[in-house]
Amino acid sequence: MTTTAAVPTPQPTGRPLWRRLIGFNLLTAVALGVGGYYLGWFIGHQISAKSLAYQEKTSENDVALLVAYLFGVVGFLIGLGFANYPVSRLLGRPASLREKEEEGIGRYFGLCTDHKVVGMQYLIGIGLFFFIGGVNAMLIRTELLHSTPTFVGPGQYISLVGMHGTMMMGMMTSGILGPFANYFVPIMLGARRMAFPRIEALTFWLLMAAGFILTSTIFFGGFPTGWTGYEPLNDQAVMGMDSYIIFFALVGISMCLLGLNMMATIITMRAPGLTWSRLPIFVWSVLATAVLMVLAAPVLVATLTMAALDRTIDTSFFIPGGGGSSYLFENLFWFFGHPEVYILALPGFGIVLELLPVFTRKPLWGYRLAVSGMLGVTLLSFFVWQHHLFVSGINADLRPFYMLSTEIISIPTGFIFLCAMGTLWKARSSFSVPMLFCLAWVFNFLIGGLSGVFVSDTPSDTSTHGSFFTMAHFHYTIMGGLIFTFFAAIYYWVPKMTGLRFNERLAKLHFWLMFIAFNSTFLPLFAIGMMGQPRRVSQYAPNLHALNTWVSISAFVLGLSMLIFIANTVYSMIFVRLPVAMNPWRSKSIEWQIPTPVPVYNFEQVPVFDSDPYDYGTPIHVGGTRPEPAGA
Amino acid sequence: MASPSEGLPLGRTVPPVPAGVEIPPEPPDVGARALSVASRLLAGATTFFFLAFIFAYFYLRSINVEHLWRHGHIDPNQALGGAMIGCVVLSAILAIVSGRQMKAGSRSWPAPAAGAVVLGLAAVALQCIEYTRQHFGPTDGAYASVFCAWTALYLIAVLGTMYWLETQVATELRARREPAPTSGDIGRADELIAPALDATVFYWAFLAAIGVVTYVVLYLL
Ligand code: HEM
Ligand SMILES: [Cu+2]
Repeated sequence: MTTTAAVPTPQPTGRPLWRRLIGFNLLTAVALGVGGYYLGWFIGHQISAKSLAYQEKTSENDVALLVAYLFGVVGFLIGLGFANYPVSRLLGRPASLREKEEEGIGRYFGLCTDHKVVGMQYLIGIGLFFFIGGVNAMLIRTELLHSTPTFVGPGQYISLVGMHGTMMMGMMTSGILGPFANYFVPIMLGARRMAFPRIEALTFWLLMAAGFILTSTIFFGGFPTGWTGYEPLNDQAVMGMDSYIIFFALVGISMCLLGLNMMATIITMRAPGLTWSRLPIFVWSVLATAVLMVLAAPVLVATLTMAALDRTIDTSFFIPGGGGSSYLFENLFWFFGHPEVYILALPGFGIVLELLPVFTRKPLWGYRLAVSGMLGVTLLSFFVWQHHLFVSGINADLRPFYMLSTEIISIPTGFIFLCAMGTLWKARSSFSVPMLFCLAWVFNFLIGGLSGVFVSDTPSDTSTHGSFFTMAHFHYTIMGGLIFTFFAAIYYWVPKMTGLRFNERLAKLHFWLMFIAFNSTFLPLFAIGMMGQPRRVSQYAPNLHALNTWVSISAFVLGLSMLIFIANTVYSMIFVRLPVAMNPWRSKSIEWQIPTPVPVYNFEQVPVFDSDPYDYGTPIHVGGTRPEPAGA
Repeated sequence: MASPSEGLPLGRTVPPVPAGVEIPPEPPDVGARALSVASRLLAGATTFFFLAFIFAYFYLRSINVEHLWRHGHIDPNQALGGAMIGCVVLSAILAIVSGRQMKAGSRSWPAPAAGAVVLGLAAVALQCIEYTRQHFGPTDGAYASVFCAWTALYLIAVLGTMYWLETQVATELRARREPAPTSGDIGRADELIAPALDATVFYWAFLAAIGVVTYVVLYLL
């Protein structure tokens, strides 16, 4: 059965092609971005002051590069049309919410304020950079096929690791909120839009500019710090470090705005009857993530600003020779960095708990417990950051506190597990592809969580810190926790977003290959780490060679599984194009009750919610109008 | 077999509103509440942003690496600093007055709001003058670093807020000249002026409080 509404063909625009290319669009944006970059480069070279004398004597000019990047980003945004509205507001023109929501494929290549378009943009854009990060991982594993540097030099190796890690940490923070929360949260709330549609579009385009800038670090010598950007190496590094700084600062701004928009939407735009206790659990997880984004990301931006000032105008925040301290950076970074890892994990919790009821045909077990678990994680994640610094030489008296607070976080995290288990208990589940990915989460995150106890425990962390053990731990939580649920969400929701369905066999092949290869890649790394292989170094003891070869081959199979996914997407979405049934998963959630594709305004009439979302048994009521929104 | 998916070419996954379907306008209080919540969240984000500087200040001051925290001659200009924070506080008070007048239904609220903008910009100017007068630069130790970066970023925040406040005044003045503009998507757009002013005033008062903390920490401690 198909439910595709008859879509009127778009009116062909009479204007000639060249005329359509002139205006605020991606082409103009790229042109102004490049222009801005060179203008900034030129201006940066003109600036000089006493403290910049050092810069003038070398070919390194961080001022020029930072100014160039900033001008480039501003030009890019102006080209997309982001300056038009602020200028018209400056002149007193009235507020408006919607922009460029016309028909046609063109909207996907520019500023568009339709939350569904932004969701699709995010999915493709983030997918692209995820792919680049993945290619870097393949290069890392290629180098590690040998116990001595062969394929890339030691300096390039650390750059590669840094680019991989930073790209993944920066881009995937919005991996689920970007595509799926932007697309589905307004629908789940019964709203027609996000609270601030233009900001929503801005977060996406900032992220794209950022990804491009991080990739450009290869032209400036890369950066030697890994994703954490530690001082004093940060200050000593070549210009490639500036790419890292601008990348992460833009990601921070994007993240903060994304979180702000999500929170404002969820708090103020729930349809009548959608009380807090009826909110889908996915929306709760988005809310918890958004809190972390709004509060943690500004600290990152401030810290990177200090680092940039140290590198350019020679302030001495982090430079002991001038009265600063590199520990200041490490503390500030992890004050952001630990919430960051929960920004990655929480949306995954939400996806799993949202999907399990659908495939087990049971209500979510322990809804309130799950919510309190998410909020508990959110709160506690601000009080654990020094567990990253146990072996750095911090005051030893601080360690017990951070050890305890970290281990306490496993309690609310345990709630999430309990809810997943309770929902699965005695269920007659159907093992569709999204469900398989959710079950894989249960397995992977358990290993990630249990190994976390060892790195949070100060005595054992002294031997696991900085080793491949830690590396394996966080890949189990991030890749096993976030990326598996990311794919669950793709297989579950993309059919709704495109109206087309994936090839089931290829999808299953993707799942099994990914699941097996993932474990085969990362499980041995615990052992390799215990045997002493350090992170971020391409040379290792020869007796670890066999295990490393095993891991690299597994990693290549893991890469292959991603190619199968891409092949499936191209095959199913571009060539075969089988339409999806109205509600293929027989979900009770509201997004599956409205037509596919979703109309621009989502709902012709504001829906009224009169049951909780996991109430398998009674139909959801969509219809009747009641104009007043839900009270807070 | 003609694939039924032909109704779904790429790029048209979101169809337009079918002809004849009338989309009822959104209740204005949705936008109003979103603005109010957003201004609170923005205040939270701003707090955490400047918290990083407060942390840097006390951290570096307490460890005083190699006694390089602050040399004797590094003193900001008290007169200019006092004048600048005075402008900020006065401006915030004017903004609050303007918000009260708007709520009381008075039509004269744009005057104090405009005054607030002018005073806010004066604060920025005073701080810039101070940079040219002071006898130290960002390279003169940890205190000097914190001072220069913190005040500069605070100024950027003030500038942004003054822009925001200016848009309220400008919107009101234009709405008086060209009454009842509708933008189609949020009903009568001028209904949003009141909540927008409210949100701006809240944020500006909050930022001014951060300014007072900044002043106390950097000038008085
Ligand atoms: C195809 C799957 C992946 C493979 C084979 C892989 C492999 C690796 C390897 C070998 C390293 C460490 C190299 C070293 O320290 O010497 C590494 C580091 C890292 N990876 Fe992955 N990775 C994969 C996916 C991911 C994903 C999905 C994420 C996060 C979303 C991620 C985040 C990181 C981070 C944050 C680091 C640390 C970088 C640093 O030390 O600064 N990785 N990865
Ligand atoms: Cu942590």
